[in-house]
Amino acid sequence: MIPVGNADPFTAVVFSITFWVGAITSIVAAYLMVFRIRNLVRAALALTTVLGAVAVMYALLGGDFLAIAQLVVYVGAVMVLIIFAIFMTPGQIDVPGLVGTGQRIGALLVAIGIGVISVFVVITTPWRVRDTLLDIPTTESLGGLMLTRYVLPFEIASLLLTVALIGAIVIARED
Amino acid sequence: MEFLIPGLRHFLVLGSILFSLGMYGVLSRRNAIGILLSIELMLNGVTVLFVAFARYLVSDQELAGQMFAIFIITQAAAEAAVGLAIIIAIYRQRRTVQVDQLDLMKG
Repeated sequence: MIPVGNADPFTAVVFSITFWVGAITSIVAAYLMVFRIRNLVRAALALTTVLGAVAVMYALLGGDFLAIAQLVVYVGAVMVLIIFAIFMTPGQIDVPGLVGTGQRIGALLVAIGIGVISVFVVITTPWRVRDTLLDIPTTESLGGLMLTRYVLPFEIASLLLTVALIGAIVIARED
Repeated sequence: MEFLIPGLRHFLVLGSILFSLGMYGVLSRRNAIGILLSIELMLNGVTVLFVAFARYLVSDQELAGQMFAIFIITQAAAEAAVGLAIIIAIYRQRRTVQVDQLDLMKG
């Protein structure tokens, strides 16, 4: 699905259309989430839309395993967790969710500053782009790397998940 | 019409825009769960950049970016679990999750 220099025109067109639909969907949903939506449940739904569109981006970039992991972990687990937390804090969903105007203007300036700087940098940097594709599917090579070169981060991540699991239970337990 | 064909820069700009939208959300929300939602948005913006670099840049370890993305997703799941546990514990104590009312440490 990834066009290279000599990809056939149909694949290239499908790639472009998928990219633009996904990109515009994610940006519009993210914009609505931070600027328009005050109700937290709706904000969570908008974020789910963004996460789904980002999974599409991973698929376009040759991250087959990542796209599925994004759907399973983010959309399947993290969002359910967040929606449960929203339900467990009643009376907090619809309250005016924003800080005062002064801090909002400051936040807007910071966000625009960071956005403009990073967009400028990524556009003007002369990246050394390659033509070759990733070896798709990447799942097998990722699994191999995880148990060889990246075995230490892998073990640390396992430890982190265990600690987070126990910590979350201990903190949230009623006593 | 050259700019309509997606390349590395398109994905990088998309990731940067998602990151700055998330940044605004973090700074402008008062509800702690809303802040957590915006943090997830920022993490996703960064992850898009990593995966785009893994696909497009000249490198002898092409999958390093995707590996990073996997660890970011792992860390985000752990962070969401602990963060929401803390938010629920705070809600039990104070009956609020508005961050500007959580001023226990103010002298």
